[in-house]
Amino acid sequence: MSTVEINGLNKTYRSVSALSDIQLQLEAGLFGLLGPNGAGKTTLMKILSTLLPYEKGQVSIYGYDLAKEGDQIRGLLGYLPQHFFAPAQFTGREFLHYAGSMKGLKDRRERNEQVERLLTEVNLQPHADKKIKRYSGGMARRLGIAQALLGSPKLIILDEPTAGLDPAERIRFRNVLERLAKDCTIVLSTHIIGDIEASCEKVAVLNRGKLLYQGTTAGLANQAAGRTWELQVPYAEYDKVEQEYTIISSRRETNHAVFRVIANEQPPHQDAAAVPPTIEDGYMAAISGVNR
Amino acid sequence: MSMLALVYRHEMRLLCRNPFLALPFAIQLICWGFVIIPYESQPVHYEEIAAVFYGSFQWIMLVNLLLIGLFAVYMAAKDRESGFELLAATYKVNNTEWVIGKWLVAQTYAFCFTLVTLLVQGIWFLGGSMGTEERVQSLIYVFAQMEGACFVLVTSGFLLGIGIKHMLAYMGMAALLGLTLLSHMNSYGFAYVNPRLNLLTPFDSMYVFTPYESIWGLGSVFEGAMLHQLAVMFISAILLAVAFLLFRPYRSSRREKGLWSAFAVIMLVPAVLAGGIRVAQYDSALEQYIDTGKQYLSESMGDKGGFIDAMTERPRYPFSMDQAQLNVQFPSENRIKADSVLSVTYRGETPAPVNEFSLTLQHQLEITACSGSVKLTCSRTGDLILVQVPGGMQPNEPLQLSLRYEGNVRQYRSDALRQQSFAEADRIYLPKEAGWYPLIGERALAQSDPDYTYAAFEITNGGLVEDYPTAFTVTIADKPAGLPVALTIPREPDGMYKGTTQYGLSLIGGHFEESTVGTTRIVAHPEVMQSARQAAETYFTYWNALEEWLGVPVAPRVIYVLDKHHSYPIQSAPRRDYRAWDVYDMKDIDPTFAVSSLARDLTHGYPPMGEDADVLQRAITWGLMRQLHMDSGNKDFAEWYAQEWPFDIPAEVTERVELLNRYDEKGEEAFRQAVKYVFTQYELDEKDDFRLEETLDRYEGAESR
Repeated sequence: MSTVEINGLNKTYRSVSALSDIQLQLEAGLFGLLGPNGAGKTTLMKILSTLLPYEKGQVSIYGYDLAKEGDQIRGLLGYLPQHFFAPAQFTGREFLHYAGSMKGLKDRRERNEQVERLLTEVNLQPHADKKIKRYSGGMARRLGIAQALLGSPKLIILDEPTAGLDPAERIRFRNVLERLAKDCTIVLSTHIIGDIEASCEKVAVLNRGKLLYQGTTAGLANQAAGRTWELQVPYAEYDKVEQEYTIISSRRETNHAVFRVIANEQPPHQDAAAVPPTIEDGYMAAISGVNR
Repeated sequence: MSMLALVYRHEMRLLCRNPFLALPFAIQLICWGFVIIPYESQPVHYEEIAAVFYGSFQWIMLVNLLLIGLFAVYMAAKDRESGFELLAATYKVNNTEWVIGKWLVAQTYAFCFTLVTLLVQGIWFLGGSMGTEERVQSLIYVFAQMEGACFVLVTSGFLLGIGIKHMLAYMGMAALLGLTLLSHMNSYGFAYVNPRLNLLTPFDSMYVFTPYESIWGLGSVFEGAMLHQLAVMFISAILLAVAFLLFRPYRSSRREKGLWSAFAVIMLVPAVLAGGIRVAQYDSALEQYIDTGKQYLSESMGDKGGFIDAMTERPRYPFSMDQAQLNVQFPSENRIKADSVLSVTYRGETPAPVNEFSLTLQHQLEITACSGSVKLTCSRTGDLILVQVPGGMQPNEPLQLSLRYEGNVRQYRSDALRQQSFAEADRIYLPKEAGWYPLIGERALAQSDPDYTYAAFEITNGGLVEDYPTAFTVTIADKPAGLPVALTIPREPDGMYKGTTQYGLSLIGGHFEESTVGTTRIVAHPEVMQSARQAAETYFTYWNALEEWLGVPVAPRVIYVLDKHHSYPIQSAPRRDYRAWDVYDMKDIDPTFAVSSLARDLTHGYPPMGEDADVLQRAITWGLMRQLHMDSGNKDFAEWYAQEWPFDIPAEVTERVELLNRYDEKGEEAFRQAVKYVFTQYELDEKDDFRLEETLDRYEGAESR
C-alpha cells in the first residue's frame, strides 16, 4: 500500500522546470532517490518536506493532501537537509530537546527518553554535552540524523545522510534505518550508490526534473543488463574510449587499461566481454540513455 | 508547556550564551556612569537630577534603539541565514509559535535595556528632591517611551528581517532609526519640516529639546506621550501581523492566516483611534499657534522687514495703572476666571481731559463684565480693550475700573511644541507675556518673527516694559490642592499676594521652594536652590555696588529659576525687579559678562539706542569693573573701550568716549560721579532725546557752579 503518492507533480523556478510530471508511489520501507546534481532530487525532497510549494500535481502523504494539510504532514515528518545547520551555542542534547519541542514532543519525559535513545543510536552520547560548534563534520551529521528521527516520524527524508561519516558510522546508520524501515517510509537521496545498494529495496532515478526509473534496485541493475562491458585497450586509445562510451570505471594494468563501460552494442575491441550489471551500471545506463 | 513557551525558552538560552549581547548593557552602564558620577561629584547642582537624566536618556535611548533594532533583524533572519530555518520549517511548530517565540526573545532583550534604564533612573532619582508621585510618573514615562519604541522597533526589525532576505534589512533598520533621529532633530530646531511628522517617531518627541521642564517636570508631555505610545503599540501589533503573514506564507494554515488578519484589523481600530486623538490634539495646538502667530504678524511689522523689536515699545503711554486688585480662580484645567479692580490714572502733560484709554488682555480671555467708578464702555479688538469714558478723565485723577473675564490660558510657542502658558492640576505658568491680567496701554504681548520653521515664524514675547509701577493685591482661589504657587510679588501671611512692582505679575505653580538672598526672593526647584542662592550671592555684590554708585535699585525683587526655554524669552526683555534664570545664568558666572549684562539692563538692553547710550552702557561697565577690582589690563576707559570694540571705532564714537575718558584720567571717583550724573539724566530723559555731550555739558556747568 502506497504511503506517498505523487501524481503529475510539476515545479518550476521562474521559467526553468525543476520537476516535470513526476509520478511516484512510495511504500513503507527504504526508498532510494538517485540522480546527478541538478536532477531535481533536492527539489522533490523539499516539496515532500513541505518546504516548497508546487504549481501542479497532487501529492498525498499518509492520506494527507500536501497542498492543504502541510501542518498534519509536518507532524509525520523527519527531514535531514543536505546542509545541516544547528545553532552552534547549543549542546547536542539541548539541540535535540529544542528540535523535539518543535516537533511536538511537549512532554519532557517522553522527549528526554527519545533524545537519550537517539544520542545512543547515533553514537553521540559521549559528546552530548559538548557545544555543537565543537563538533566535527561527522558528529554534526549524526546529530542531524538524530533530529530527523525525533518524534517517531512516519516519513523520513534524508538528503545525503552519510556524507562525511566514516565507514563504521555508515554501517551503524544503515542498521538504524533498516530497523526504522519496518514501520515507516524512508526516502534516501545519496550519491553513494553503495548505501542504496545495501539498504533500499526500491529506487527512483531522476534527471533534469524527469523521472527516468522507478522500481526495485535489482530492476535498476537490469537496466544495464547486456549493455555492460569490460574491455582492455592500450593506453594510446584511452581518449577514444572515453569519447565513445559511458565509462563506469577504469583501472590500470601492466601495459593497458581495463574499462567498464555501458554500450548498447558490444564494443569492437578485442577482449570486450559482457559482465553482470550492478546498480551503478543501471543508474548510469538510465541517465545516459543507454537503456533505451 | 506550550510549544511557544518551549521555543521562547530555548531561544532565550541561546541568547544568554552570546557574550557579545551583554556588551551593550555594559556600555550603557558606563555611559550612565559618565553622566551620574560627574553630576554627583559637583559640590552644588546647577541642574535637577531629572533634567540631567532626560538630557542623556534621549541620546542613550537612540543608541539603544539602534542596537535593539539591529538585534531584532538578526533574530528574524539568523536562522534563515544559517539554514536552520529550512530545517525548523519541516517541524510541527507552526509559524505563530516560531515567529512569536523569537519575537518575544527580542522583546525580552529589548526589555533588559528598559530595565537597566529604569534601574539607573529609579536608584538615581532616590537621591533627588521629588515626591513618590513624581518618581512614579518619571518611571512610567521612561518605561512607556522605551517599551513603546522597543515594541515597534523589534516588530519592524522582524518585518525587515522577514521581508528583505539580505543585508539590506540591517541597512533598512539603520535608515529607519536615521529617520527617527531626523524627526527628533526637527523638534530641536535643526530641520524645518512639518512638525506633524514628529508624530511618526517610535517614541513621543513632541517637545523642544527636552521633555523635562524644571519645576514642572514632565507635566507638559506626559499625557501626550502615553497616548502616542499607546498608538505605537497598536501600530506595532499591526506590523507584527504583517510580518507574520509574510513569513513562509504557504506554511501557514488557513486558520492561522485568518486569525492574524483578523488581529490586524482589530488592532487597526484602536490604532486609528489613539493615533487620531493624538494627531487631533497636536493639530489643534498647532492651529492655535499659527492663528496666534498670524495675529502678531501685522502689516506694520511687515513694513519693517517682518521684524519688530520688543524694546521699541516706546514712547511712554500717558496712563498708569496705579493699583490692581485681582481675584483669580482656576475653575477647570487651563481655564481662568478673574475679577479685577483697576485704578487707572491719566498722566498726560496736557491739562485737557481724555475720553478713552486702552488696556491689553490676551484675546482668548473673554470679558464678561466691565464697569467703572464713572460711566464707561469697553470694546474689544484682539488683545486690546478700548475703554471709553464719555465724561472724560482729568489728569492725575484715578478712575476705578472693574473687569471680569475668563477663558483658556493655554498658549504655545515653537510650532506648538512648547507650552507658553498653562494652568493644570500639577503645574501653572502664567507669565506676564501671556496677558492673563489687564495691562495698561496698547501692548504687543507677542511678536511673530519670520523664520524658516514650518509655521514660517516664531512667536516671541513682547517687551512689556512698564513706565509706572503698580500696587497689586492678588488672591488666588480654587488653586489645585497642594500645589505651591508663587507670584512676582510676595505672599502675605493671610494668603494674599501684595506688592508694588514695575515689572508686573508672573504666576507659577509647580515643584519649587522659595528662599531669600538679601531682599531678593528666589523661587527654584529644591535641587538647584543652593546653586541659585550661590549665584545670587555673587550677583549681590554687583547689585550692591551698582546701587551704591548710581543710586537706583538694581537687585531684583524676585528671581524665578526656570528651564532654558521658558527663561530665555523673559531675559530678552530687561527688567530690574524680576529676573528669570536658567542653568547657564547660575553656572560659571563670568564677572565681566555679568557686569556688562547689568549695565545693558540698566540702559534698557539691546535695542539700537544710539552711540550715546552705548557709550554710557560701557562706561557703567567699566566703572563697575574698576570698583569691583576686575583687572582688565587697561589703564583707562578709552583704552578698554578700544579693546572691547571689535572693529575700528568710528570717529564720532571716539569723540564720545573721549568726553567721558577725561573724567577717568582725573581719577576713578571723578569718572564715577560723571557717569552717575549722565545715567541719572538718561533715566529722566526720553531715551530718544538723550545726548551724551549735552548731558556732560550740563554736568560741567553744574560742577563749575
